[in-house]
Amino acid sequence: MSEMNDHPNGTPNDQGQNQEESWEMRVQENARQFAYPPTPDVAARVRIQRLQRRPTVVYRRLAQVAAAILIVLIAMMAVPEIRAAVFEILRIGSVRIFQTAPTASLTPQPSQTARPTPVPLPTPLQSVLDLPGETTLENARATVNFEIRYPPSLGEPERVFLQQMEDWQVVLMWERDGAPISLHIMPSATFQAKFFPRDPVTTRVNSSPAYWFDEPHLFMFWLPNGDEIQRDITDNVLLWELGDLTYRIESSLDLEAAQTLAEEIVLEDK
Amino acid sequence: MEADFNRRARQGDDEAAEALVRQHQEAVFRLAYLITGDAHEAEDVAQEAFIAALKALDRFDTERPLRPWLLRITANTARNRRRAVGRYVNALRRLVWVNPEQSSTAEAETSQKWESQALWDAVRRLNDADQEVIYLRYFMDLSINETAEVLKVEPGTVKSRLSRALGRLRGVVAKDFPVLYEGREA
Repeated sequence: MSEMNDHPNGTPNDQGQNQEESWEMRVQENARQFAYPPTPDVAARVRIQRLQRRPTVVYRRLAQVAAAILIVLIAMMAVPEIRAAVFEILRIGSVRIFQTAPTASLTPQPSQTARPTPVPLPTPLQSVLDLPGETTLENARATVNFEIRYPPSLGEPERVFLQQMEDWQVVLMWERDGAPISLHIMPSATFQAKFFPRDPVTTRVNSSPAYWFDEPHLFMFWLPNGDEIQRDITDNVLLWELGDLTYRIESSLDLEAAQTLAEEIVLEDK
Repeated sequence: MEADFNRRARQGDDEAAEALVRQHQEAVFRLAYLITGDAHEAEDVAQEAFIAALKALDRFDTERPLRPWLLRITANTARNRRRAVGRYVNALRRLVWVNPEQSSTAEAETSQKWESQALWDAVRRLNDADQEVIYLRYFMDLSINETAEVLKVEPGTVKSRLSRALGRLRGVVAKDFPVLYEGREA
């Protein structure tokens, strides 16, 4: 570390200022000497990703989706009461809907009998507000490779979250009359799972098929490191697909109000 | 020159895009490394940041310098990634990390490297905002104006943030890295 350059004959104020300047110089000098690892050839990786993005990503994601479905099914089949209860799979966009009987519970429960296969415990989230990755709309726009659209009548989002699954998911939030309204936007090639006790209401958003979920249910998604995130959804959810993206509005709104908001989101004319 | 590359890259010219990445990859990787603390993670962040930047290039004013904008995207990407996964794993990895060059370098150089490493460890005890302003200004050696551009604040705000961050850093060093602080109290 370099020697100090204090001025012992100055006034106390001068000495304080000199000490600050000297400290800044020491920091600067050491920071400049910092030994970084060698810079990798990022340009080559970027070039390859840009050249191969479309087909490679599509096939990789299909493989990931297939693997994720398999994992969910295996985990579910390991639990006898769920094995008996799951009987149908629906899908819209990125969300697979595993239909379960009303008595089935996917949250680990104390049990008198040992289960044949231990099921890994996921990370539970109580609320949308617990989501990681809060950021700004500007940063979200600079990070994701899709257009972030939201209902104009809600105005600019009050909070913005970015979550990295195998691709980015954006969550926009507003508060109306003390209740949150969240819009979740994710590429349809990703994988998320929803466990619902009965047939969701089939409806439409503009001309696209949509599902309406108005009972508490379980929602799961996965982080790139394999961590599973679970959320108990207590609000109503409208789920639909537009272009390559899947949208969810989660709120206490009724179907008609949620649909009105959803229909404000449209693709621009080419 | 840079503006020309930027314009060509946003028009889909792959060569211009690659040249642009090569020109800035060291700075982007280094900032990502400082924030994530892991070279592999930093490489992923750098790649992700460039892909995002190239996609968003049509919203960027090509007459402005690119580096501050790229570093802003990098900092945001690295921060989000660090929050999402691996934060504690990386911290543990850093704790057991041994500088492989220590045994073979001259004593003065080794000492300097050790001090730089210790300084980084001390900076990482600060909050995200303090870390970022110190990384940009001192580790990345940006000017006050460039730092302000990255953080999207006024240069005066950068100065006051730096002053506060340096004060807090001095507190951390005095408490936990006394060797770095030797000579201060004389």
